[in-house]
Amino acid sequence: MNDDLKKIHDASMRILEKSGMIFHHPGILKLLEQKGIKVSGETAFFTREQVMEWVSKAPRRFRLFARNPKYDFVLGDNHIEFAPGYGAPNILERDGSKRSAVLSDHVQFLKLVHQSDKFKVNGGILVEPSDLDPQYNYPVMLYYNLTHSDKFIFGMEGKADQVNMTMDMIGAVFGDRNELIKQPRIMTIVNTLSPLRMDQTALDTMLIYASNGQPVIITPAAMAGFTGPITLAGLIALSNAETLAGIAVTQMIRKGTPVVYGCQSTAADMRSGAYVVGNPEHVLCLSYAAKLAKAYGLPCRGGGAPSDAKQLSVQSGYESMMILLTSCRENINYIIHSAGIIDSFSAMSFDKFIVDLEIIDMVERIGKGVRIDDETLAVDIIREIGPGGQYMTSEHTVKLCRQEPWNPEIGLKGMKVSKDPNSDILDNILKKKEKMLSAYQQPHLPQSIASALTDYLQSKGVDKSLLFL
Amino acid sequence: METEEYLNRVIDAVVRMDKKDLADLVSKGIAQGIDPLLIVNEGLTLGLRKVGVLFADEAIFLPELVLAGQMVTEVMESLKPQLSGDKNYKKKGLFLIATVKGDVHEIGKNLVALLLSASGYEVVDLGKSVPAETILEKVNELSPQILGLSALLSTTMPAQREVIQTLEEAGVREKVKIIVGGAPVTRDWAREIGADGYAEDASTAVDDADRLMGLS
Repeated sequence: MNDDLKKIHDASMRILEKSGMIFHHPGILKLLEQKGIKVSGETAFFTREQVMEWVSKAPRRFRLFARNPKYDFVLGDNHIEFAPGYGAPNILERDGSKRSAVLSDHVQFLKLVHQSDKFKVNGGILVEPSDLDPQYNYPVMLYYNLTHSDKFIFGMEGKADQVNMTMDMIGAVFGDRNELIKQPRIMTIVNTLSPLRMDQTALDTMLIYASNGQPVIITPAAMAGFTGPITLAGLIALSNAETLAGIAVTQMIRKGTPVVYGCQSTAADMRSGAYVVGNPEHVLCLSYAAKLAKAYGLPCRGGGAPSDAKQLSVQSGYESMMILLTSCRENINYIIHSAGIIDSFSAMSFDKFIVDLEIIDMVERIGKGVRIDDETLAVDIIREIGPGGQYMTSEHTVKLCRQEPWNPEIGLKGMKVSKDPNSDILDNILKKKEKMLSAYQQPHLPQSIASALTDYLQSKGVDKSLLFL
Repeated sequence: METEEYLNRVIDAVVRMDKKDLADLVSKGIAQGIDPLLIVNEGLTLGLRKVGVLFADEAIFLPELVLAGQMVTEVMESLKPQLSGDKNYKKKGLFLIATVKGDVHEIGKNLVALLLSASGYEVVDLGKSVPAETILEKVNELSPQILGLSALLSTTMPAQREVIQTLEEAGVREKVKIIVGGAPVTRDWAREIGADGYAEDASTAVDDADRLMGLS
């Protein structure tokens, strides 16, 4: 840890000692007391030794298991995984109009995410369907996730009933609790409620996931000046305190529970009070969060390709690239919101989803860096061609012209200019989306499992018509 | 100092968010015998309205708007003894406000409550995660003119609809105007669930309340 990180860490420790953190959950408060944490009312006060001792029990890295083993992956170290946009209740159309998202949009995104080789994970709340009862919205989304993709499953924070349903369904597909602990099959975000609180829903989710050995991502999303200090150092220290306290609790629930250090704190728009993501402050927060997580030896989550733009536009392009590039440069292990999300997390856009895949591709290329060896230094070729020569017709160029330089799938390059370049790129976006959807093939799920899931959901009161779109 | 010039200075102090100057001006005005109701209606309220316009133009930032609201509320509070004897002084109406069940976010709701109260409404705040049944009870008990329902999460927005349905079933829906708000709430949603008004932000919540009260 360098001096700046040490200062932030020290501030976070002082925050947890002096201000404490509220846990709106009698069971968790009891657990904290049992572990010797000072609890007053609903507020827990941690000494620095207590926090760091519990945090140190969390694994440095862990493996996540998909239904299809080719999508298994490790979270931790400098390994990066992308996950799509998450939690938006709306769909933003190409013409800038916004409508409430529905279940069929979720299924459409499941197919696109399944088709993209950028993702080993699928699901979560690709959109929040307005046609589903919030009592069982995630179990229905999970059902479609399981029937439409065999990638690793992204979960959702919810009330205890709903999270228990989730575990029942995961159990029906992957085996009992013992199996799940050996091979984590689902992971969810658990949000803190800044400043310095966790609510009952978050803690119920954490309790059920951690008891079943399934990983959670502890994520504060404090807004500078509203739910955290307006100065970034204070905002980062506060967020760090919340995340560490959350992680400590996961380890009290079950030692060794896989857990991810998350941070989604950012600025607020001081003119309106809106949560903003396309700001330099967001970039700085995620940078520091990644550095802190790595110093603590924890896998981390943050960033993505979000934007505050109201439409696919110049603004959505530069903001998304700024955040995604930084996320990757900081080696954030799990980058949610990597594709499709727009309008400050309030909408998903199919167009932007396709654009973001291209951004991911560019950023991945940058991340691969420059291979430096005798072959790539090409000193012999340079000697052969000599001063004043040209490389265009050299065998070296011909051999490597398709693999060395990055090539766009939708972006326009070169000298061919049409009358309407803007519509050309939009056409390319649409073509790519249609190509992906037409190539989509539903992965096999044994009929007995599919029936067990539909029977289960109907027994919980889910209308049959929702299960056969 | 002429009354008009005095009132302009009150308005100006609100707009400059100069707490000390405002407090001095108001106590000086009272000492000089200026009608406290005039100070409220033609000074403080107009000042706050001006701040609202500047906020809408993005010339004033949200924390500044809140500060102006707080200042005016405090001054109004200090004028209460003088105002309570004035039969011409009355609040614009009773505004009942709550964050709906399942949602514990209340910063936005508190801002709305503050600005409403600074703008002359009597506000009763039921707090956060308030069940529909409690809201119904309070509507019956207090007979508010307007009910404001806040939700920050897309998952708790349906609870706004639930409150409206609960009031309908109890046969009291027509007795109260309902304004909904919160980050994911849209005008379309407000229309869909049968609300009377939609507050895009704290400042427009006041405008919409005035509209529903026939004051704008």
